[in-house]
Amino acid sequence: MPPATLFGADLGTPRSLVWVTLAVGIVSALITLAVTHRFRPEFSSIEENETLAESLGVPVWWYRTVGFMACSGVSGLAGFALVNMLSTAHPSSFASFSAVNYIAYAFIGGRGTMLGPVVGAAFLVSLSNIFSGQGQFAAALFGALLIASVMVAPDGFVGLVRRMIRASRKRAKGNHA
Amino acid sequence: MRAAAPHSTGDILRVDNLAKAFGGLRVFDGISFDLAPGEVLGVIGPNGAGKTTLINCMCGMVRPTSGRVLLGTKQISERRFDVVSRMQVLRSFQQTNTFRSASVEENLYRAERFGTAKGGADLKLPGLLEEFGLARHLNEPSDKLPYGLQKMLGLLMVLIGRPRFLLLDEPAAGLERRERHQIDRFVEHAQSLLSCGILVVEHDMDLVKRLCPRAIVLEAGRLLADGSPAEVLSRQDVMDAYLGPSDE
Repeated sequence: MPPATLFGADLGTPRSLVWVTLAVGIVSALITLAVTHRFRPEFSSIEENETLAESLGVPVWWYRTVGFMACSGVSGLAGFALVNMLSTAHPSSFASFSAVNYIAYAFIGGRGTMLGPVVGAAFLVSLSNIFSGQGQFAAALFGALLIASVMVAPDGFVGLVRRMIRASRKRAKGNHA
Repeated sequence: MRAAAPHSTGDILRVDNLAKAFGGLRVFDGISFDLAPGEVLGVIGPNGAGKTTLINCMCGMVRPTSGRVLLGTKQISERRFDVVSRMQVLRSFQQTNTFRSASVEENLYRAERFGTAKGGADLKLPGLLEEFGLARHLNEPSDKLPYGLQKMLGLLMVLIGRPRFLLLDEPAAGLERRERHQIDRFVEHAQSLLSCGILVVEHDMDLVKRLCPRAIVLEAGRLLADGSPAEVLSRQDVMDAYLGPSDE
């Protein structure tokens, strides 16, 4: 694919690649922050008890649509950054199994936080790179890792760390008293 | 979100020839009655008579098969559950129903945030929380509360929506006998603060007799009787519906 241009400037040179990707990352983070911060009570309530949320007046379909649009928009931006870097786009790069991976990043890292998917992606991508050296066992090792992670940290690594901090604070308070 | 249009206070909630069937299974049909603002109406009947399904149809959670539910002149039986809720026809649930992991305070905040009646009548909420024993638990996750407190929290969340019509599905179910007078007080508060019409589905006949000047009896999907609780409970056909027909 020809490199993307903006007002005639080539976005595919190594230097602009870094800047463009960084800018896309920042914009995505800001959009995510704005949407989740604004609608956190609605999103949490729909996740936890949709019927109760509706009974109190939440138009669930509207918040689902907003959530879906924001996710799609941010994913689209990420896709642009990726294709701009690879300068190639092919359907096989986005097989349906890759969606499972992206969702796994969020679950393993911790849902309901912005840090979670970043932690999850860093962890799983680096480990799957290590596992890929094991050839035929790579997929099995990856699967075992997912199971172990979910068992150790059901609400993700970020949730686990949060819980540990909260517990240690409580203990400190208890000792103090 | 649009705010619900202001209504005149005189609108009545009318159930008009309502019927509901799931596939070939008829739950009820031909049900008609009115609920006036400020009125407390009891709905009694044996298990499976269709009482909860009636509430489900009235609040927009379930579409009736035929017939209408009207708020004043507005037909609400064709509208979505959340739209009916924002029109301040609000329901409670038979089981405890809260946002489990959220604290009591967060649950109350969400009820206020999701409703349309912000800045409505002053509910004197701190007093209510104190009275129903929730004030000491504001920071606890709601699912860690005892059953009775969870139930009262659910009721207060509905009250925060400033209902014009309040549909209570077995509010006393699962409560210990000594906790049940809280339901009386809740209904009294709802009436004095909001003058809303209240429909109470309930198995506790003493509670119905105490709270409801009028009661209707549902049996096997039809409206069997309509009158004062003492009157309807003294009728032979109502007793037969509950206990089975006697042989004599």
